[in-house]
Amino acid sequence: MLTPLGILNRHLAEKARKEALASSSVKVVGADVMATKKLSTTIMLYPVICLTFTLFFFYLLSS
Amino acid sequence: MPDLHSLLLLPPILLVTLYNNLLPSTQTTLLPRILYTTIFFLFFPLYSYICILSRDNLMYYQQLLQSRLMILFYTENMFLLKQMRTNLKERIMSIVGKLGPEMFEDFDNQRLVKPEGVINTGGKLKRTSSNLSDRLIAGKPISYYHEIELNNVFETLNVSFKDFSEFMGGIEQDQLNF
Repeated sequence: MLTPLGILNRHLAEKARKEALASSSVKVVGADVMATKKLSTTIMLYPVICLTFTLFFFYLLSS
Repeated sequence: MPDLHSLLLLPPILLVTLYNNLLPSTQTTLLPRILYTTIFFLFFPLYSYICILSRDNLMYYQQLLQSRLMILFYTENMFLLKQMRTNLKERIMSIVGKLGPEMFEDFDNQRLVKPEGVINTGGKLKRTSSNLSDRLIAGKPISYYHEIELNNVFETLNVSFKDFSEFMGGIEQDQLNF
């Protein structure tokens, strides 16, 4: 159930990492950028996913 | 003036009344649906938390299993790697012990990693009494016999070992012994 969030997280974090590596000459891996991006994305999207699944569950119960 | 608590109850009552009037055919299933959905909504974060924990542990044990399998199939290389690490550690310690006093004042007291078998006694380094690993049997330490014993155990499994130089991509044996 959390797979879509995980895939989106990975995609966005990889994008942010590439941008950070391109703009910086200090960063080697950019793990901190990835972690920050993943965390912020999860904090924003988890309530949305939670509500979506709840509404979907409510809809399933009617059928 | 009506009480504030009774005002809080007004929206759900209105909602249920409206729903019952508009859709009388489904009025019996509404409350259980709301109840089950509420339970689902409350337990979904807990479920997510358990999912994340289990995935973390799964990855941890998967990595642990990989190293165990490597040890099983490349036992000789494991001992070689251990020896390489020991040699490297000894070499680094000797370089640090040689160059440290030249760079820092009071180096022996301030250093965080002390040489093995040595304790710090007020500025003077003193060797500790011999422990189990320092004891010698026929001129060799006990750990040497433990390694041979372990090696024999793995060899009885009839596992074919790869040549280490082939495995490491053509690195010569002399280059590995630091």
